[in-house]
Amino acid sequence: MSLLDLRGRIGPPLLISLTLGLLAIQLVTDQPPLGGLGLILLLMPGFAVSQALGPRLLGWPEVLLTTLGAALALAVLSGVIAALSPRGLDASSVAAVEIVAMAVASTTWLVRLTGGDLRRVRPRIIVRPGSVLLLVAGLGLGTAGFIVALRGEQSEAQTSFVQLWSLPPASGGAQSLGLRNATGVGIDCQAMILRPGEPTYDLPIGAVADGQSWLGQLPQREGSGPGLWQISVHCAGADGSIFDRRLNVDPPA
Amino acid sequence: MGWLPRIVAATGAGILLLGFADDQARIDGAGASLLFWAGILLIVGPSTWRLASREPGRNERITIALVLGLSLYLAKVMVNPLAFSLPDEFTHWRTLNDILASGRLFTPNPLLAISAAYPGMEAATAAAKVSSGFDVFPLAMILMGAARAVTMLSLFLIAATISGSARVAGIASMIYTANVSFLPFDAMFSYESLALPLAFLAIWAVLSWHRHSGRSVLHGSLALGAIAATTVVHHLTALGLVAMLVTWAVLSLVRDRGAKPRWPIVVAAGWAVACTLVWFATAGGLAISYLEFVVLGGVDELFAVLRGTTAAKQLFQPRAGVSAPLPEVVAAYASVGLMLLALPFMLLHAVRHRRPPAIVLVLGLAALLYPASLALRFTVAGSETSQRASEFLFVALGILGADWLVGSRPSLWRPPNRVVLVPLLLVLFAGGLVSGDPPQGRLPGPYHVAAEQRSIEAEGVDTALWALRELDPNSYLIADRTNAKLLASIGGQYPVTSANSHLGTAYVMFAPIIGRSELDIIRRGAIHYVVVDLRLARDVPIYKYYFESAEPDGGQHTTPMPLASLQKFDGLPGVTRIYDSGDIIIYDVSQLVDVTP
Repeated sequence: MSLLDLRGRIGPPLLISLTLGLLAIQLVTDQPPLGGLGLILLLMPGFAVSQALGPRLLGWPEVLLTTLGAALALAVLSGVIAALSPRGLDASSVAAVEIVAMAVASTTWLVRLTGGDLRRVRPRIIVRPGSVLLLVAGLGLGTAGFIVALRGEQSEAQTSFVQLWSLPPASGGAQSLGLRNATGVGIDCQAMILRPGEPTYDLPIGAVADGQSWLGQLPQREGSGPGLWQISVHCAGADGSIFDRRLNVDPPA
Repeated sequence: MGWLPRIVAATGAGILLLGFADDQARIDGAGASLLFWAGILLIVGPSTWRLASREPGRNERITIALVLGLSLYLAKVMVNPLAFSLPDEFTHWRTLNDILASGRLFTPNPLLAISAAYPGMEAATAAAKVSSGFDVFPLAMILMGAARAVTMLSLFLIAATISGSARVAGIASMIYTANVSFLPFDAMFSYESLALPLAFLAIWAVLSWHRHSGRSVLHGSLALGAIAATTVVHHLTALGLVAMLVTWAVLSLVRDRGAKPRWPIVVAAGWAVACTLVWFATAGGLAISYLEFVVLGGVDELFAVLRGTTAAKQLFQPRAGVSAPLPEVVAAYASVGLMLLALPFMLLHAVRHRRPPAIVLVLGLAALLYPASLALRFTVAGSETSQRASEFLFVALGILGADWLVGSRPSLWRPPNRVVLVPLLLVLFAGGLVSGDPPQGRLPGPYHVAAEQRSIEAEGVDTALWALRELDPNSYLIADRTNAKLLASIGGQYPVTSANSHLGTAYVMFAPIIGRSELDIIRRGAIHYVVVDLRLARDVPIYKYYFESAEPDGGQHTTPMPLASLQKFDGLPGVTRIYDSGDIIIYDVSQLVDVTP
């Protein structure tokens, strides 16, 4: 087999060049060049190792095992080596380690290819229409089962709740008050702040749609009364549900 | 293709039933358990029947074994197909997040310190993440799926190489799936789930390297690479691999003076010892104390049970009103009984008629450890060790058992035909599944207190997401075990526990008031926040602990946690209540820490 003998499909040299090219792009840009398909880049060095170093006759189970196994072992070692490198683990450092592994394996692979040292074992599979039908049915049923489970989790009835919080500002500014609606319906809320030594402060929050947050600010401190401010929030849901929440916070400075 | 299309169709139907079972279980619907077992039977039954037959060829058998392993992996994924849900997954997710955030290894993990010292799986996932941009969860599922494929292929090929029979290899693979960890423990995103297939790959590669008289560069490099990878992924698996390879090397040097050179085995064993020693000396030294605690703790307790100074652990004890159905208990005991009954026959068969090679003797020695591993199930500390041991020992039990059951050499007392053999194998499988995964863990379902995956729900997850947005990362806090997992993995916070700080933070939560000793713990732990989940007062925990083993009545709760203990922070001077989502309250206790006593 020569380097140009592609047998009508993407041959090893093209595959190697493509992989090395994409890994080089990842190395330079520090970004995955193929998005989700970048996983193939992690599989390729394993496949190259399997093809480059394997005995002349290797059955498909052994090819699959050596490819997957080498890819897993290389992913582990690449990740650890990249993280231990001065740069740390990122797309670029992982690509650098993978390029080295890929280059060594693919050079050996090409040398063996050009030397005619490799032969492929082609599994002889006799396919009957009934068998194909059963296979398709099995895969279809399995996929349907997975979709049922997936939709079951997506539509699972979740607890309805309202999150209320108040935190001091990170740097200056007023103390914040936040509320998030995770009830599944729209809610209408009203906050009341009990301030020792000061009049009670009513803070209208109003309507908050499901999944939305409301962010506001606590009023300025007017007096110098001791003690914590007590914030009570009452929310009424469109379906008649009631949510009461309560906080105790230090008065704003 | 033989029966393969029929097997795939039956497996597909089984997966569909599992989907319906999961769906029913989410609404606590009746029949979920029945659907689950029907689905499992459709997946395992036809495969086992065909594997036990004399007819199929090698490729059909290995494909069936692969389909079996992957469909059982899918059964785990389908329970929660959208997010991590098992407790160990959150632990390793934290390590993964730390690597992704810093690009570095060994950032302390508050949930499990040893996880950060063995970061191979998380480093591989991080490498895949930065190379693909995928979300972490689908990547983790793909990685574990690939690991499961490697497990099944390696096991089959190891058994086929040793026995010289594809039929033995198929049955050996099936028996392996009956180990108590196979579903779901070895299918979750946990370091052991990746280390095991790498170790099996290493064993197959060493076997093949040896068979090729050391001339196969592929098998040699694969063996050394897989051994190195195993070393950085999981301590116990690495040690198990070292023990196996060293024993094999020694026995082969003593016994196997034949045509094949023995140096590949010796080189592999030496490499495994070197890798393990180097990792122990540089990064993984923590494993020594961790394993001492996990393994020797169980052994010590076992001796105490034998001496009568400690009561033996009650198996299948109901918790929080949930108990295992009687047929499942019967299947579990029958499974263990069958294996114990078969053990002498398989061992005898292994050593009869021929001079057994060193690898068979290694398997025989491993199989002998099985009864001892069972004894640990009667201890609290050793139960985990017993469960973990099964995933190693079943390699030996599977290969030797299959050789006795269906091997070409004649043997005594083997089941006469498939009609007898297959039901026995199905009981073995069912017993393993039941023992490894209690009913409430097998299927999804409504929230329950301290029930591992059953306690993961939206309010806890959203509280952790809020903590990620609003709190400083790695703030020291006290939380129950469920919220601690969520807050550490999703929220990036640092739960302080007895396990990671030697501080009895759980005692602070159980105390009726904050007294001097509780205040001292809060101050010594530099606790900034206390997370209170009021639902803890509703029921006793299903999985023993509300917080961790170091808690009042740890593992023996008969009444729910007192509500007053949970509400004691309200109105306490120096404590502010900064978050309220109904069930979950977060208090800022930093002023308690700052105040001079």
